[in-house]
Amino acid sequence: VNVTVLDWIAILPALLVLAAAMLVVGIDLFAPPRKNQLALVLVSFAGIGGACWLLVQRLHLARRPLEAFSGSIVLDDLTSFLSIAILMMTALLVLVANVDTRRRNIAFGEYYGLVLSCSAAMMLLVASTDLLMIFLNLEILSIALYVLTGITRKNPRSNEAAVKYLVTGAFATGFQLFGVALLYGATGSIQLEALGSWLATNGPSPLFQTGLGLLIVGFLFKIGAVPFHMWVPDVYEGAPTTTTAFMSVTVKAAAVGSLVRILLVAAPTHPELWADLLSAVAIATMVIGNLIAIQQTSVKRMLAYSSVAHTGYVLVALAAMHGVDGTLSVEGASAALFYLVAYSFMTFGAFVTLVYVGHEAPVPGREPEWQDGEHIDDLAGLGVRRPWAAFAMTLFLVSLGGIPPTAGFFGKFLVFSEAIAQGHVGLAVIGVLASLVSMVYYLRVVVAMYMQSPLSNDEQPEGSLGLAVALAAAGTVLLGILPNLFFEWATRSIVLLGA
Amino acid sequence: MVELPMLSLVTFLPAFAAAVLAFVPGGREVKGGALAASVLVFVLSLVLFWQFEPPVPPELAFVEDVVWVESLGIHYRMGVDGISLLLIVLTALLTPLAMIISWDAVHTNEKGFFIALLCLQTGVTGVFAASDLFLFYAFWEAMLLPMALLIGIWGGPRRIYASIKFVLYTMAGSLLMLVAILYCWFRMSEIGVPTFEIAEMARTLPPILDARTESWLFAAFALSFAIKVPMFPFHTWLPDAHVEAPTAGSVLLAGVLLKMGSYGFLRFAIPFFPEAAVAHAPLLVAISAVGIIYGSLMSWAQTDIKKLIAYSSVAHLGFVMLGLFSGSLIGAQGGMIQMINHGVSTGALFLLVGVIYERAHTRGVHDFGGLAKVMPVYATFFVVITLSSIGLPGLNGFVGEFLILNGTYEEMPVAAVVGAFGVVLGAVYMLGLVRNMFFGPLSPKWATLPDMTGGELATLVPLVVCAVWLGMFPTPFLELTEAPVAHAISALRPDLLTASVTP
Repeated sequence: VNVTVLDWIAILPALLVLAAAMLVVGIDLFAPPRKNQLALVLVSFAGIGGACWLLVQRLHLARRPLEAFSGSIVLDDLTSFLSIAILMMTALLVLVANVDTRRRNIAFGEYYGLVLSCSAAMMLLVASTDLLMIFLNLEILSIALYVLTGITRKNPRSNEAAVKYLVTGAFATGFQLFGVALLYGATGSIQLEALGSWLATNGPSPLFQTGLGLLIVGFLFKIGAVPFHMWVPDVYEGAPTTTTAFMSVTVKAAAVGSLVRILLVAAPTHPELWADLLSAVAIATMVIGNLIAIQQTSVKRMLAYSSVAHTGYVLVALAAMHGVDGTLSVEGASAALFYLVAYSFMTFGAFVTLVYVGHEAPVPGREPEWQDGEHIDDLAGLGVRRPWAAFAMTLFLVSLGGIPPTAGFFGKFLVFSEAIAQGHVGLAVIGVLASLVSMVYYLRVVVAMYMQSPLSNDEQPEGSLGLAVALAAAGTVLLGILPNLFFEWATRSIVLLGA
Repeated sequence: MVELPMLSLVTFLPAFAAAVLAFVPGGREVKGGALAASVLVFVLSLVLFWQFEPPVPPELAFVEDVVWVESLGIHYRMGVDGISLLLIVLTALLTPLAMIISWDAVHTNEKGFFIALLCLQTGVTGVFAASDLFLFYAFWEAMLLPMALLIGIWGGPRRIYASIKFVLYTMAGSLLMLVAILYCWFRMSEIGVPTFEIAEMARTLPPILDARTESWLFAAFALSFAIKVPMFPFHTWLPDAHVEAPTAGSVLLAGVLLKMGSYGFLRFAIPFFPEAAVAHAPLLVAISAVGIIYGSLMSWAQTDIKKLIAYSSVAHLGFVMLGLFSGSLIGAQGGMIQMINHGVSTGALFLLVGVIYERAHTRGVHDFGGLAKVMPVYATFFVVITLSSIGLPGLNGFVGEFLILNGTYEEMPVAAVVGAFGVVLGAVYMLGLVRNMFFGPLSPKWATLPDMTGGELATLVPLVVCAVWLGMFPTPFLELTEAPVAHAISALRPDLLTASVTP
């Protein structure tokens, strides 16, 4: 196999991030501990910033897709768009983790290294165009996340979460690998495009159908869709909140991006193979996710179920790619992409606000049962003690609930309008009713923040935490008021997929 | 000279002021700034009123149009006709009054309170000023949160329950309306006009919808608006919200928020789905009539003054809806003018309740008696506003109720008779309230209650002036709204476009 310069250029953004990861681990190894943190943060930002800059340039130039490594990787608009989304979240995480790792005595060199390599794997996952690359990258990012989940080694909850995640994750991997094997058996290829043309000429064989189904199920596991969501609340709750914030948004973005690519490149001619499955899962996910979220008293766990529910809205958009009249319409996928970005900002922001609130208590306490800042009582009176943090949290919650003028509203608007345009009115009605239910538990947090008497937690959280919250809030509002740029990118990334 | 975007200015000035004031420390400065901003908005709204030249419906005045999301045909479109202009002025009038009455009444987190009021004003004004359905919906939903916070933070003992109930009820309706809006948009884009422009939708939608679809869509819109109005039997959030809300919240809730519902019927539900509106008009008239009687009887039974007025709102809004769906221009005009009347009278009543509650810290109807002896000025205002509310000729309530009953009688005599009975009931419970509060023996407990202060007078005098003005000279207001109302309900009665109500 000939590897040319072009091949390397195609993965240059991911390589930059990976290089930053290596550098971070290296510096951490040799430089004296506790003094090198600024250097680590700067290196991470440099890697992320450089990659982001490259990707934005590419999006502006709008070249045709750049295929690399014998067609197993492609740098196109979809890759660029989702990579930028992932990198933005990674950057915000570096900002937060900088403070939180120190407080929780997490070895930050490891932490940054894992986060950055995880991001690189996600970027490559979105870019992957053959089943093995997809599988490999999914595994790399998962392994990094298993470790990130269990990184507070002395916290039993964190350990439990990591083991749970590992076991269920391995289960999902099994499904996926089996799906890959069956697809290879059916078609004799692992390249998505080859699969697509095989399907177009031969029609779906039972083997192909089963393989595709298993592959999709593996993805549904990763994004936490009902009935494959059982691990989500436990893992999200047990992991350090910073990790939760990171994985709740980036994994979904990367996995859905890859799923969209698979569906639109490998099976665009037969949408009926996957659309009904997705719409059934979407309904279950929206309904069950929202209903269980109501009962939670831990805000962290509530947000975990809420993120399950939001997976459901994304799946509505994906299911809406298959019109009732049997046609394929790709607008659903661009709605899903926009929704993912909107969801990223608001969910990340909400989790980071919990970190922020946790930092108000003078010493980390109440472990292992509760970490600071995750029980609803920890938020009591936040509106009085920290008006800006409470305002930001309100924005995130309102956005999650889908009230304008926020990103969440525009996202839901796109998703449901696409569902209706393709004739899935029932799906849209269930969706809006589910989001009505979701207002019950989002409002409960608002009530706690503004309408209950304040706690006496008066430690001032560090500035970079506040900055991360503010940036996420700005993203949430901007995407709601000026959705143009991202919506355009989202549309273009799908259109150029060539479906 | 570049023309100022007056409507945007009136709409967003409060929100802008709120954003600036968020950075100002201290309560007094914020209060002053907020009041100054809202007075400025009122002045600007009067400028709008003076500059307004009634356009021929469905044209609008002060139009602003900026592309927002091009690929979806979403524009930032603002524009007003006589109906929305009056409601905007009403909003701009009531907000500063609500601020003055809260000046000393709010003790916790004053800054947040005034900022929430300003945000609420932007939301409500935007609802009336938007001429793009997407924009309208954005404002419609965005005003939920400030109102919920006003009730939930600064309200009475059951404030949290009331606040959540308010949000959930309203959202239940509006989310289904969102589905209907999206469906309408989809049908529009199917025939190649992907736009949310309200006038364009009213033109294009009726011919392309079949009767069944139209009924469903009308139901979705009507449910949302009926909850907001609120029409019986969707009214149960209202008494809770009103009783728990702080005075300023009640004033704005009754004064302008409820009008958003009837405005929605007039602007969207009827013009978009005329056939369904005709088909369902008898049903809506019937539940309006039931609402009038039910609201009045409930009012009569209340022992909490605020709750009494809250239920009277159900009855009054029943009149508005009766007029709008009566199928006569006179009735609809009456309904329109009654929207303004109710804003003035009930807004004033809630202000008056706030005044006495600040002094006595009770709102029990039977806790008072003989107050006329110690608070003569207060008693006078209360009686005047009561008379305006129950429709004494010469005051505003009479104009609205008379036109509504007159118009309804032509088309649906039974409903008009029921409505007239409601007027009588209205007199019974309101005059009963006045008797209980102001006459009879004076309890020694209240012997030292001070009469109204200058600030309180400043809030009530403008409203009494409005009540008299609207009652004595309603013609300019009727003329202002005649063409747009006729156009809006022409769906119900196409021949109405030629009829006229003003002499």
